[in-house]
Amino acid sequence: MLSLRFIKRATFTKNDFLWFGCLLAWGLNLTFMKVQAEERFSYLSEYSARSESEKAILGEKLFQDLNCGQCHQEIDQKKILSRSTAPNILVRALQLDPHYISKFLEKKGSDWKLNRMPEIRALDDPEKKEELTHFLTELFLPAHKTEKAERPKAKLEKIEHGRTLFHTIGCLACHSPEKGVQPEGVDSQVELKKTLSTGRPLEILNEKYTFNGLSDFLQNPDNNSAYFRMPKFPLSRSESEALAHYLLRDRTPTLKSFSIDREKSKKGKEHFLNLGCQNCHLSPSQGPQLKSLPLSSQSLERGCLSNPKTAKSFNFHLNPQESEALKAFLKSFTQVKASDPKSKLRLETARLGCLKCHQRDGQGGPNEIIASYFSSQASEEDLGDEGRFPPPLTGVGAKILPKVLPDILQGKKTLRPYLKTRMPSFGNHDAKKLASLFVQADQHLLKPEPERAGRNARGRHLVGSKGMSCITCHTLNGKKSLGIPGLDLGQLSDRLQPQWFRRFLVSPAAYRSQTRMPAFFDIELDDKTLLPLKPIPTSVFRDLDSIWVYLMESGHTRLPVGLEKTNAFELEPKKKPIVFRTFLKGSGLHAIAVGHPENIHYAFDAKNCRLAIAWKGKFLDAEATWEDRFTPLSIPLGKKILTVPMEPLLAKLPQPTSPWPSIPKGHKFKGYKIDKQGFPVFQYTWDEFTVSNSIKPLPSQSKKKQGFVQTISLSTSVERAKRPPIYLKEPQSPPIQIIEILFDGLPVKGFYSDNKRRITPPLSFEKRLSVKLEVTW
Amino acid sequence: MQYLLILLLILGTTFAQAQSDGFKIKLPTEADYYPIETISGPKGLRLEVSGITLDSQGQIYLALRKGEIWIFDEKEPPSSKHRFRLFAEGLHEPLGLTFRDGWFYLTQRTEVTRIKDSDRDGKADTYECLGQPWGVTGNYHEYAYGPAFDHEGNLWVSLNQTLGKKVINEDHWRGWSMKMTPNGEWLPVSTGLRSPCGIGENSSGDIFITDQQGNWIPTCSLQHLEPGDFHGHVSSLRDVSRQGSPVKDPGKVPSGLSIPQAHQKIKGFKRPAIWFPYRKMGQAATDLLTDNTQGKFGPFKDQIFVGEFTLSQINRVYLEKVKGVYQGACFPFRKGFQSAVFRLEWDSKGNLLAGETNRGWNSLGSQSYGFERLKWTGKVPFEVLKINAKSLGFRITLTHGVNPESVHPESIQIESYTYKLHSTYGSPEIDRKQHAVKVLKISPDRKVIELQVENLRRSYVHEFNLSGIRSTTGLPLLHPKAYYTLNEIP
Repeated sequence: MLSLRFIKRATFTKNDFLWFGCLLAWGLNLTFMKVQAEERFSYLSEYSARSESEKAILGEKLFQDLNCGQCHQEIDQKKILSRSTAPNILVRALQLDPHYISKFLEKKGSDWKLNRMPEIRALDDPEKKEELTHFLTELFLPAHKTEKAERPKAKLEKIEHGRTLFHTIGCLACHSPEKGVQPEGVDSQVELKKTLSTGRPLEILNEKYTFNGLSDFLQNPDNNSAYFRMPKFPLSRSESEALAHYLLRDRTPTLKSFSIDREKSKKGKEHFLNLGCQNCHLSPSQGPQLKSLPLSSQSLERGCLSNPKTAKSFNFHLNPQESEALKAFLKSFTQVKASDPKSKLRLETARLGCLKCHQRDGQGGPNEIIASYFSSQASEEDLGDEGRFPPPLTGVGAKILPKVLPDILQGKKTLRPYLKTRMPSFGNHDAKKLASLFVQADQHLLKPEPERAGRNARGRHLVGSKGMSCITCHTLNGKKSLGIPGLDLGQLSDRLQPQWFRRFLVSPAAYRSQTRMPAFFDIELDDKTLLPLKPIPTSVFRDLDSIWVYLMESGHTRLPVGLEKTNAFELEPKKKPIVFRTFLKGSGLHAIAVGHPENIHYAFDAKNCRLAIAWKGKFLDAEATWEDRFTPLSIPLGKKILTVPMEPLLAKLPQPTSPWPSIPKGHKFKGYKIDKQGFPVFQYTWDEFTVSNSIKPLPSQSKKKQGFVQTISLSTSVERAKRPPIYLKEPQSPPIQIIEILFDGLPVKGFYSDNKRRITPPLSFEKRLSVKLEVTW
Repeated sequence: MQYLLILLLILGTTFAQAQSDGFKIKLPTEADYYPIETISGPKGLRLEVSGITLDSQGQIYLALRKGEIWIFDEKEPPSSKHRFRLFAEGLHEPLGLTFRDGWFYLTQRTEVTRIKDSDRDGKADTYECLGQPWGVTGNYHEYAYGPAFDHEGNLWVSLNQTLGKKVINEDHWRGWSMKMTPNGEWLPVSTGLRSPCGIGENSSGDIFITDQQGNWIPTCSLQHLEPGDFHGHVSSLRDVSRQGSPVKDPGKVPSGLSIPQAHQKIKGFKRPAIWFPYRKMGQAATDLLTDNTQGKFGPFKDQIFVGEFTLSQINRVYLEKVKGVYQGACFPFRKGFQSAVFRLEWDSKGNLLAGETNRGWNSLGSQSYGFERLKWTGKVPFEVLKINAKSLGFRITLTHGVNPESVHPESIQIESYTYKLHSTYGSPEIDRKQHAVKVLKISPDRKVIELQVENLRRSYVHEFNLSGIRSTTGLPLLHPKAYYTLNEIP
């Protein structure tokens, strides 16, 4: 789709695009490779080749990454090495800022020695360079127009979202964190300095990409080629847009128009065709492919492999380590045999950067600073470091079934939703190759072992809450665990080697040093290695196999005890009231719910000391309080929930006309007494008053009139003259009615001085006040 | 007979142990000295014991997490319906229970409450709220632990950090220890705790508190608690400017300092008296209980027993004060409980009661809750009784005499390490070092070994492996590992 759009707008032949992509590739290298030390290939520093065969392995990789096979096709008859890592120019043309071309061709702001694309001598001619600039700029114009017309305005929250993504999903494995953006508690200055030396700055993106271009690139960094460097992260469209907003937050697109000289552009197109760019860059071009002279033993010192200072048409600026490795590889066709899977694996994991996030055999893992950015969706007390860091790759070739390993290495079938870091994909080709290297390298870990014998019923028992209670910490086929949200057990049997499962369960900590999973079996372990000191007893194997069998069948068998729903937690008041403290919706976190056999219930808010809600029908389910680890708010089971307004019945006003307070003030909860019938009578203080508050079902309940009678009694030893006056406001909601007011035990009639507000004059009692209310609804 | 068999007599009981050639007689185990009695509750009652106390008659009361208090009446036979009787209900997850002057004191999620059976009908009827001094956001991890009285009559509680989602934003004093004075005034005391599950007094009347590994807490610990202490978890520093805070603001706390560095650089930072190395000594320390049984429970007078959640065991701690600072050694004591050991209390005979519940997490053992009792058989195991720091080494005191031939530099390995104070979950043991050891002296009764240890390191844990040591009767130590937290060198 993208290429069609482009062709319509720009009417160039397919060949035209070759040059363009070639240069783009160049540009890409420059910006992304502004890296540590003087290494063009970061894996050179991690992979030290000692023997000739190790050098040859490295040479093979360089041969691929420098695209040598594109010209030296005779080396690579099977085309294993010759897939291009250079980008597809048709896609690129829609992504980059046209202004970027001239800067790029002028070699501005970048270090050419770190570039994978060779320097082309022919471009030393300024005239040719200018013509090429015209040609390529013209190609880029559509992207320019698109950006002018379509770039959405960057909203602050979008940038913030992008910033969060950038610092959590794994970008920091290769790129520097933004200055000043740190996880809580990390000390800024000193530590950030340390990271900058290994990170890859992204500021250049501002002048390089258009907004839509970068967003598209993040969706598909592979550009449909088999090899690519920036891996593909699983991102939704809105996430890649947020990232683009963030990465381009300082971008101000240059809006000046271009004057393209048609003649020059035409000549530029010819240069583009004649220099052989189509050898590397995937494009729909039908143009001629340049062929190199055949390689011979003499040519190992000539051409591209000659001294960079005197190199002629193409100069790859090879350093001695690179040339040596390439030579060893080229010699290996006749002399050196290079088939050591361990060295190959070492190089491959270095090249793909696996060990920037994962550990293998105690090596690798994120450096200390970057590690602090790894975070978890779950809370840390649940999963600890396991909730933040991707799993180690130690023995992974013997852990994961070979048939699913390539998928997992492409970030498919992820099992750890709590990791904020996402596993990116490096493409099918690399994943398959890496998987087979892992399997070869770890083959020795798969040993003959006792026969398997497991029973579903036994496994169900062990997984359930009366057995080993795996479901306390593990999800099972999407069913929430009772406690910690650990990884889903339902998927395990599809992906794990059963042998590995057996060994892991005997001693989890031997496989994941920071795991919170205890060793469940009473098997003596070595202090240092944490591995069993003696052979594992058959009975333990039988239990492990039973769990395995149950997990294999768990999708279509009974749920374990603990996950099967029971309705055991409904509270039913039968003879006496039930008093039950809980977090309750409508009443808050200090709720005291009281249920009655009459099927009318209420909740008292012990913080604000007031009747908060009342309802009819069923009372409450205690599961949230008794069972659910996350203590969600309980919800009244019944219907007809009456929410009592927060406004207090009684208040002290500075002036009779002062506004009525919206919440009760000065109350301190003091507890409750349970009377002989089991009714709680609440006690609290209100400044100089002690208050008791009793709420009981109306003595006679009928269908017409159901509800409570509430009696609020105040007493004080402070003389009336020495305390502020108290006013009463008649409740506005009709279900609550005052039926009696007593001053020092004597009834008074309701009277209101402010009829509009229904507020009484100051209540003239000496020591005791009692107000009786009916709550019917 | 080709093999050598040694029969031994320890306090009137025989244990045999083997020395050679494939013949082996069973060595004594923890159960031979401290057997566990499992007490089952009535059918249908989930005995998730979250608090234990005795009234003035020695009657046992158990708080259950679901919000009830039950009387455990041992005078009733096990088959009797009245052996377990409901005393109080409707409480919000009480995680501690204590008795004083006719009242039962307990914490609920939102308040400290005391209750009483005023009309003496066998069920509590008076529930008095003693205060709601801390914030509650509705987050599940906001446990409130305690209460515990000290000898001055202050009532202590400890408050878990908010960890995760909140319903409302009232989170003041989370991660703090607080006390209610005898006049009923609530005072925050120290801060920077994460999951301070146990609080109580030692035999000198100082207050101690346990904490559990997580962010800012490198591994589980036992903290000596004094007003103004900052124990390391930074989230609760938001409250230091709140009225009533005795803690001075230490400023921005950098992440990643080692404990010795933190001690030097962070104002008010209090090093724990004991670090419990992760996994070796458990994964979540819970209750603490000082041995004031006057020898009824064995030779560990004045030492502190500490519950352990994940590994369902009980550990033991010996404390000493060096240069005014508490420090000492911890030892594994008894494993094999049926579920997470959550609460500890002495019964009237000096047996150790263990309340168990693992709801929300997981633990070793066959059950998810329970109530068990640890008794002493009267036999003294061969154990390290205590370890004292000396200016040039350590002094190890054992419960029985050693065979001097087994005491040499190879049978005593000492390694030291420390931790990182950082924002991530837990810390590895860092900066490890083996120490050269020289045996200086063995006391005439052969129970005390004086060691010279090269380059002692301040603020480091010194891990002892004494698996080569044998008693005069040929026994190895029941627990050959010990972990001494060396805050100060005498």
